[in-house]
Amino acid sequence: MKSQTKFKNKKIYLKMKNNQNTIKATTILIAIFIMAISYSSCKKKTTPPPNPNEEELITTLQIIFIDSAGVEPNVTAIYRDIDGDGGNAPSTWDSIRLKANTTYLANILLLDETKADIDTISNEVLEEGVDHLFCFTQNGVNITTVATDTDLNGLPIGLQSKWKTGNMSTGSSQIVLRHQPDIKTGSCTPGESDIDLTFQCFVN
Amino acid sequence: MQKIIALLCFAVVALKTSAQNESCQITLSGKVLDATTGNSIEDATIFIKEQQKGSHTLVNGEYMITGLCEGTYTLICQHLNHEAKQETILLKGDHVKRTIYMTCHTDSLHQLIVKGAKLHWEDITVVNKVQGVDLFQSSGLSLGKALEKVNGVYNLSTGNNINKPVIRGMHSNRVLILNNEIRQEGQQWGNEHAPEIDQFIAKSIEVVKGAQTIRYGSDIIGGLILVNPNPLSEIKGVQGEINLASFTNGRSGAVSALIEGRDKVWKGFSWRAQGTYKQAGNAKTPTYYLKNTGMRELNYSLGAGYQNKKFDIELFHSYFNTDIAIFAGSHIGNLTDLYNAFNATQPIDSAGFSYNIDFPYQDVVHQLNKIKMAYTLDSIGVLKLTYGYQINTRKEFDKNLKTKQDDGTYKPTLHFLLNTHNYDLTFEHNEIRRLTGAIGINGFYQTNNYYGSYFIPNYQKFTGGLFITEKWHMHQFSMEVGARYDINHFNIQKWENNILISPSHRYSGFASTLALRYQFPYITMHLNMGTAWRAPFVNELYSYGVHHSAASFEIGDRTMTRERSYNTALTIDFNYKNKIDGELTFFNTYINDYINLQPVLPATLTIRGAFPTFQYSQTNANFKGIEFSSSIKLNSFARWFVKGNLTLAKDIKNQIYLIGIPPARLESDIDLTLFQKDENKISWSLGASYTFRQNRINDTADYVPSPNAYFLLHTDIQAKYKIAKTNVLINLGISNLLNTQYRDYMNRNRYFANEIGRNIYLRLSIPLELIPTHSTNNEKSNKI
Repeated sequence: MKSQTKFKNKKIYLKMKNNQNTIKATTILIAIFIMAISYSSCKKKTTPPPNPNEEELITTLQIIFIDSAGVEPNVTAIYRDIDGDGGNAPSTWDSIRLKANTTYLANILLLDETKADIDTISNEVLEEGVDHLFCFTQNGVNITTVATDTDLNGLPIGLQSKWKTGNMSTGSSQIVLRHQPDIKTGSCTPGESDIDLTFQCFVN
Repeated sequence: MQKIIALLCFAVVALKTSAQNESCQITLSGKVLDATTGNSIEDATIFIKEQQKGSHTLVNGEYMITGLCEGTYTLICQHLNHEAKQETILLKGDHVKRTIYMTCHTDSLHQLIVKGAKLHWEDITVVNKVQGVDLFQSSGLSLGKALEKVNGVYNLSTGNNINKPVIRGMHSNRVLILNNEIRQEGQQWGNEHAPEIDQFIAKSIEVVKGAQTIRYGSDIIGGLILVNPNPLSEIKGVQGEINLASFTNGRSGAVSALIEGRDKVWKGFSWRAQGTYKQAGNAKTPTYYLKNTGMRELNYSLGAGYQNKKFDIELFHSYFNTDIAIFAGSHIGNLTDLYNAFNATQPIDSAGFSYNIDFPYQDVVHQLNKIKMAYTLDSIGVLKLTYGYQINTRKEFDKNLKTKQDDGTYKPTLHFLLNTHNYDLTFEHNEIRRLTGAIGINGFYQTNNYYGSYFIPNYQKFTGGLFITEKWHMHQFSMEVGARYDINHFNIQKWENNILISPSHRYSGFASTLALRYQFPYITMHLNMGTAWRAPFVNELYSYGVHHSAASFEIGDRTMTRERSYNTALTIDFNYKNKIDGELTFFNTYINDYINLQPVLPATLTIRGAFPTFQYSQTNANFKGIEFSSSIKLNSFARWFVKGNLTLAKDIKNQIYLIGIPPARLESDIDLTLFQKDENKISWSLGASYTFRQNRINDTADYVPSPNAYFLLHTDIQAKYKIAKTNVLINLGISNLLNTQYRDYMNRNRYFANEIGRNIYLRLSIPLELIPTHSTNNEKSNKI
């Protein structure tokens, strides 16, 4: 009978010991857990993200037409969208108004006007001339367009072009800048569009 | 059927017992165990034939029949997955004890029959498992491709190397992946961001479709994928495995090796090391190469663990690094470019074969560190603590915006660093009155930083949830209920009109599940119901800009609320003596405030041209569908498999179909055993799949019509052969056998190029036993 009680006590003792161990282990587990969490929260430092406005952006396309004969006045057409894609609509989107039966030399200027120092993107296009091509499509207007500048491989770029107008007409001119890294052949098909703008166009 | 008769007789006899004489006071008890594994068998019927008295075994395999009469009788033991057993028993005295061993059906276990989509009958919820030979037959492919073996799982692909699993029409933030028990956190909001997991790590991959589980989060609306390595506790001796896979298309190859062991002296200590290298070059369609479609992947993982009777600790580290080239023809300037690309007979930008990875490409590094501890509390249960730390670095290099940095390398166009700390504290209690279950808290703390262009803002996200889940068994009926409450908190830092703003968002809500299972003879029925919710993600709240690979202008909406799903699924699983078996599921998921990209007018005008505008907005959506799979034993050496699925998804508010939903698909396989002797087996299979055209589309939301239906054939020779005492697995096969030209609706490159053509592959798996196992008994006692 006595031995039985002793045994019973031992059992209780063991159980208590076990419980103590359990508590100990649980404490350790929770301590490690809290340490891990606090470690992770200590590492939390919120660095401000880079300002996307500081990135390169083409906000403005300016095309200046000069009469090759020096008779007609210069014509300038501007597309300007300062806040870039979406947001506010373009602040300026001119029509192109050219005189009939005249040959103009056209010059394209691309700008990033969001920067304090206005960035001339067209200089970069010229630098990477072997990867870029301007394509011009005239719809309903009597104009024939030819690029006059060439890249290192002798292929046209189109920053400079010749616009030869015919009789009076109204329609639109589409100016597309194709980015063709390593795939430029002089054709407009490969690559993708960096610029795709359609101007209303009047020849009178 | 026999079981029902037995029960009926039992009822009749029960009425009679009162009239029986006093000597009928004997109690028979014991256990029913599996003869091979020694595991206890639940829900077996024990039956004394002559006395028409019986009972069922409990979860632990124990049974008890009282009020039996003295004498020699026939004891019958029956169970769904085991051979019925008859034994003669002498009943004498007060109490008779008898352990009964049952063997499995001679063919194989039921869950091994349905090819690629194994229904795991032990679970109350419906779990599809890919493991063993099925998993081996997808080695060398991406995790997403391996999951295509599960009926109803598709891939949202970007070319051949980026595959995101789509479960019942849902993917990305609606599908949760658990990589070795840790919630995988990459930049999964992106359609071209594949899960960063080495497929060779997995010993089994499980798919739980729909909102059936709340254990791991409240946001499992589409489904849950579990990638499981072999548990460290099951390692014996020192062993290894070498896996090789090579493919002719893309001239790609994968090598993976694993070595694991248990310390000889310190038996509780086990370890594992594993590594994989993969490389692929330009893939080829039947008629042309796809320029810049190669990839490289280097992964390794290390694990160590210590187990004793009460305590179990496990450490795990994995490193995943991939460079994936993006098909050169898939980056477009505007909608005109997209139409040009679509109308071209073949991509303008073409090339021959090359292993080069050129611009554009992705470079992704994912690291996971995990510590898991389990402590067994006597007779109460197990306390488990898991902590995971994931570092995900994603760099995307654009072809157009190549800017050299000072050190001569190129600056990534998109560059994100995502840090995630996962925590989980769970208490799993032992059985109390047929109830088993768990209670716990889990969640994560996450920070996102970007260094390249803006796409999604910087943010800190905190999630926390409290859950409880309980299972209950009674004879053939089982039930599982779960509930949880979660809080999601976001802090966001974002530039807006040159001002840094830092808004915050908070979402909270309940999620719950109910699963019922009833086992009839030959048929098991599962009914699952669940409700889950998901907070809108930062891209859905704050997107604003052109998405070049989709030629769309995407606008987020920061006023959106959480979406909530209500999911119901009924699964009927049947098996008639392994001669014919199958699974049939009907499901319906209704999502309130479903977050969706919807087209809005007018198109956005930019200097690069016009882009169709899409805005994230909320609607009510309904997903419903059917999945079935079946296999029929034709004769002793041939088996025929057939499966198919259909998902219909609709925007209920606007009465239009949702876009990007997988089309219906039918698949059939025939397997022939050519040779079988002992453990050696050679089999041959021929399979066909027919993918329907997706006709249920919304014309305003897609620019080009969906691709035509296509039919593909594939064939495999599979061999298991004992060479130098190891069971070598060999698989030689051909996919797209007829070199069919086709495009797949779920591949984002379908606008630009055909799918890849014929591909011949060879796979090899060689297990190595370096130090044989000794004294298994000792090790068993060391395990928990």
